[in-house]
Amino acid sequence: MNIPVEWYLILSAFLFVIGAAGVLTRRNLFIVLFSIELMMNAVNINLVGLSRLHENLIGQTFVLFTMTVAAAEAAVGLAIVAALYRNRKTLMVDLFDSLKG
Amino acid sequence: MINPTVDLVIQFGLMFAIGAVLALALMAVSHRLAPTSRNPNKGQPYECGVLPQEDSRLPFNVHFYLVAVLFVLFDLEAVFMYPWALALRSIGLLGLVEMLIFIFILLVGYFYAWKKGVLEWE
Amino acid sequence: MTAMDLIVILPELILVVAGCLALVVEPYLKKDKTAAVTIVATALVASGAVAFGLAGETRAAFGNMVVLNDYAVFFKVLFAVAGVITVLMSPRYLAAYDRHLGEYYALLLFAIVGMDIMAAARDLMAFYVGLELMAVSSYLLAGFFRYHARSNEAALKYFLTGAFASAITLYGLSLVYGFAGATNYQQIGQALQATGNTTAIALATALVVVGTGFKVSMAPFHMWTPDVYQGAPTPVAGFFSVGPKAAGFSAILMLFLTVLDVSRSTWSILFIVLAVLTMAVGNLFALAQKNIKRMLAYSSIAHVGYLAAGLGALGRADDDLAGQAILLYLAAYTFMNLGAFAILACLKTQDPAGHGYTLAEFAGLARRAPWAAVLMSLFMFSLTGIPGTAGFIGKFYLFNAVVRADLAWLAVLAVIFSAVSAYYYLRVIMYMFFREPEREYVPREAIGGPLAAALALCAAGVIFIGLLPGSLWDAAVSSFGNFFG
Repeated sequence: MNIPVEWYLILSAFLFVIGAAGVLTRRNLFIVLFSIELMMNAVNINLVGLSRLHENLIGQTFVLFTMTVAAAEAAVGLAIVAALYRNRKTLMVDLFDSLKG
Repeated sequence: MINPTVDLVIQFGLMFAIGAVLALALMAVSHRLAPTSRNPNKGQPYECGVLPQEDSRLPFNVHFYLVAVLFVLFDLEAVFMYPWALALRSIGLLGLVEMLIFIFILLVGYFYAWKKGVLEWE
Repeated sequence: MTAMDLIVILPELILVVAGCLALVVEPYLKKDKTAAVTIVATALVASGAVAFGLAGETRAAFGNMVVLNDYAVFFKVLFAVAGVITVLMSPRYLAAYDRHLGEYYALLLFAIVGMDIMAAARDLMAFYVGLELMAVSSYLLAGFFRYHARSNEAALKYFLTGAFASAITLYGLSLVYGFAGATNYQQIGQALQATGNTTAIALATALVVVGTGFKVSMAPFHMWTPDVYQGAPTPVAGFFSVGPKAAGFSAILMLFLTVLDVSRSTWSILFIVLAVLTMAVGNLFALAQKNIKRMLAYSSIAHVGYLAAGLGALGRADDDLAGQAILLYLAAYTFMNLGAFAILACLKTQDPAGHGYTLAEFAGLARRAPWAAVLMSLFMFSLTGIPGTAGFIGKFYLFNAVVRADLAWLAVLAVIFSAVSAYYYLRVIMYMFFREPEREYVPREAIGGPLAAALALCAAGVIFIGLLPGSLWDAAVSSFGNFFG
């Protein structure tokens, strides 16, 4: 069965918006990190779907790079969260407010 | 006459907007409708039975996270080797050299982690 | 790949090798990190020199993914200079916090490699990888003081906003790929010319504007900037205020001039709106700051506002005058802003426990540390845009280009906001020279060592560009000759 490319785009748009809403509204740091991952993966779906639409491999190559970059970003994010947790003992984003003018 | 690709993307832009509205609306609805009873019994794991003695979510040693993060990083770099292996015949010796450089850079990272004592277990 | 391709990325190769070397050497170094500093500083100088030597060459490499041309060379030299100044102002500051480690310099080098690639990229993939290399290294630099909650917090805020912005940019780029079926700038530009400026392309343009706007902290996407600058180590904050911003603008110019040329009308209006907002927010909030580090953060937002006005003008005009003016402005801004942060780093190094960057602590500085006060005044004059300094030249060329693009009202607005900015810049000078200190300060040792060299470089840059901008302007003009190798 042939799935039309719109479906991929729609799925990707939904996931992206859910991820963006998660980043903006969630308080728990880990959920925020997941939401950012979700946004990146929405882009990956987009790229792979469009790669098939255009019948070239550029989009799929791009996905390899976004995947590795997302992993590096997640690793750094976790490291920052670990360091922060050691100093502050909380993971709620809105409690980090020591920087003020 | 609209170009089919463009038409597709207009549809998709609409879906984007609907998705945004839907996500916000659902959050608003659940916020309005969710019962906000603050009964302490609601927070207990079992309605009847023995209460747990301590939190089941023990903090792990941070070392596990470090090793896990390193694993994810080195693991994902392998992703580049599959397309490389497929194309090796056509890219020839220079391709091999490129991959060796790539692996060498990974090894520098590995060496650094090793020397900094990330791989030591007490 | 051919061996000739390597020449195109030679400045970056030098930096990568030195960065790896610093990482390998680091575990063997005891307390004394001179070896790492030497390696890194030498590599930066070599990279800048090689890039400078390659000026005039135009060629593309790696399947047209990156190019070597005067545009890339301009930014590579600028980044190398910013890197050298940052390295010079770091050792004593880090040592004062007991966090003087070789990784710091390696991360700095990797960030600069990412910035170089952003300026040289002519393919969305290369651009994205460069952007992320810069961003991920920057997050770690912001949180380099691992045991300080404020540094952690700065890193977290930078990370969350940065990753969010990257994801938005990436989504926009994936749509661009969808319309064009290619990721090469030139091919996309041609493919999009064929479709014309549709609503869908406008949507992708808006996403890219928002994502990159986050990165260079345009209002209303600027909220993270003051917090990150305040919490990050001071040399790092200084680096953030110039390096990633210049890199962001280098990529924005290329993306919008070549890839999204078709939607000029859309992005030019977006940038004009953002420019007005950014100038207003940056300047008005800076007025209220009592903390100099935060004041400089808001001032950097204000400067981004002027640059955004240039982007808006670029979209309206037929020539590249505004783009060239943006390049000149970025170079001038690099020297004056790094200089101001170097003074802050110097004062903090001398008194790590007591100094809090507040305005009150600048009272009477002219008597305690005359050199610091004089240099700080120079940088403040330059940031205000007093004639004879680099800041004046930058603003003069930029606002002139804005007027030429039939946006005289925007230029007038920018000049009015510059006048507002004089209040908070000159207030610092007033405190240093004419205010009595509220408490007794112990006299500190004078500025010395690498930090003095960094300050001298910044001051020399500010005065040189201020008095003899000709050669730099020529370099900026020739940068807009040929975008593709």
